[in-house]
Amino acid sequence: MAKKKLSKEIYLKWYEDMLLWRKFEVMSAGLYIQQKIRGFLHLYNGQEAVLAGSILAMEAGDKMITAYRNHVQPIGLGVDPRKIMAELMGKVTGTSRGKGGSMHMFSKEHNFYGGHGIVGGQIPLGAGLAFADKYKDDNHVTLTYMGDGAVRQGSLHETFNLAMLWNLPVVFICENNGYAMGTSVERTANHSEIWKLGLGYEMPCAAVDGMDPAVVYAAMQEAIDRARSGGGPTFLEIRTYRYKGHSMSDAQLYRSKNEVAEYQKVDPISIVKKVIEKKKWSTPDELESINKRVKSLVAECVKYGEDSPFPESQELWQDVYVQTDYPFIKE
Amino acid sequence: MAIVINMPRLSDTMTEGVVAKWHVKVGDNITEGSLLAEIETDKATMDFEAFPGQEGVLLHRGMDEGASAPVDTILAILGDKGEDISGLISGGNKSDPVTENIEPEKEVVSNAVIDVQEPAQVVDTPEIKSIDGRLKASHWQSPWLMRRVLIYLQ
Repeated sequence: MAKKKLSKEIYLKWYEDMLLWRKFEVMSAGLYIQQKIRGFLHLYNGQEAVLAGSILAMEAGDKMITAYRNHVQPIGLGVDPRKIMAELMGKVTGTSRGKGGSMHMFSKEHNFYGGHGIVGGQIPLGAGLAFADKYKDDNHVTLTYMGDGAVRQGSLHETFNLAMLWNLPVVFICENNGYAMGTSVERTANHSEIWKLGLGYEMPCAAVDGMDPAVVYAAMQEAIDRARSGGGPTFLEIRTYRYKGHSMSDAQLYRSKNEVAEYQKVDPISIVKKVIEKKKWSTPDELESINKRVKSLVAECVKYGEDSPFPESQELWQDVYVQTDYPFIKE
Repeated sequence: MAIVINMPRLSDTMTEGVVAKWHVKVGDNITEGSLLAEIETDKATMDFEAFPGQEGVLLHRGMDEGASAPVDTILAILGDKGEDISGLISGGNKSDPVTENIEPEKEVVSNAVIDVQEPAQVVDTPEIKSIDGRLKASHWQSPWLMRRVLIYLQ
């Protein structure tokens, strides 16, 4: 499919979407501090451009799978953000009926396949989704995301090999935010060029600037087109940054505040805003009204989550097996 | 309207925190993202910033540097300049703008206890015959096969 022209509409959508995702994550952190959200919480602040650029390149029916930094991906794919907030708060109205939580968001309807806690566990799953599409001649593409820590897992290599051997319609994306929890990329291998992991499999691979959705979009469109037209997998190392810690209990001793401040200068939301302002695609008042709209939607999400009930105790026995009358489940 | 900020639970295991360092003083204007203090927890010392909705003039600091307090006790109060907050300082935790009401967390635990009157019934599968008095690991195993294996092992 031809590359889309990055119009005013696209930029304004990017701005509003990315702002929503950012404010959603900030609000989730605030709720966590108040113990309205429990367990783990891995925030996407700073990485929004990767998702924004990817979604623009996707077509209906294309699938996405990622790890546990997964609150905003389903929102971007069309899931009601109120249901994501409800899931974070453990309420029965959440996308996993309150039983999944922060790390296990799913949506069958919007082709979002999770939401996975095991590092690198989602990589073979993503290739499997692509295998199913190829098997069924569905002409869909699967986007399989992973972090810079996950690329050190054996599952990546096993998956790359088979994906290339079977020429699967999959795009592998490493969201390299510089740190695998607290370990910098420089300390996880003898070289820091993660994209080169594709070379050993003769897989088309490249490093991409992940702070600008336009750059991400260009790379993703090319990779997705290749997959869809039978050209097989691509491995993209998208270089981004996370402004918050790995998760909520991260004291961030492994990096300086100056470094974070430096990367905040290339905040993807600011980059998009600057383009909008430079091209005079919007007035400050219109941008302010987008701001207000986003703020009010996030507040609505919180209210929905708070007003929703927790699951009943019987829910514990539901969704364990597909077969509802499985003999070992108590009524 | 006064906004009470409580000692936050910065990690899942945290029960109390120490204010290692205040970064704001009474009279400062606080907005979303303002660094309020460095809080020392059981794991590490973490920055504590103001969250969406926590905005106003800092009217009261709940504790001094070096003091320790349990999670959910008053850390700071924001509001309009000159607002009377004497009632809040003595009292308990009050409204948080992020969420309308703080209801004491209804102990969901009592509802969630599974009503197990008896241990879950193991379904009796008719085919299993115990050769030597021991239970089969799974009803998939054919008793014939088990018998052959056991005889061989003898």
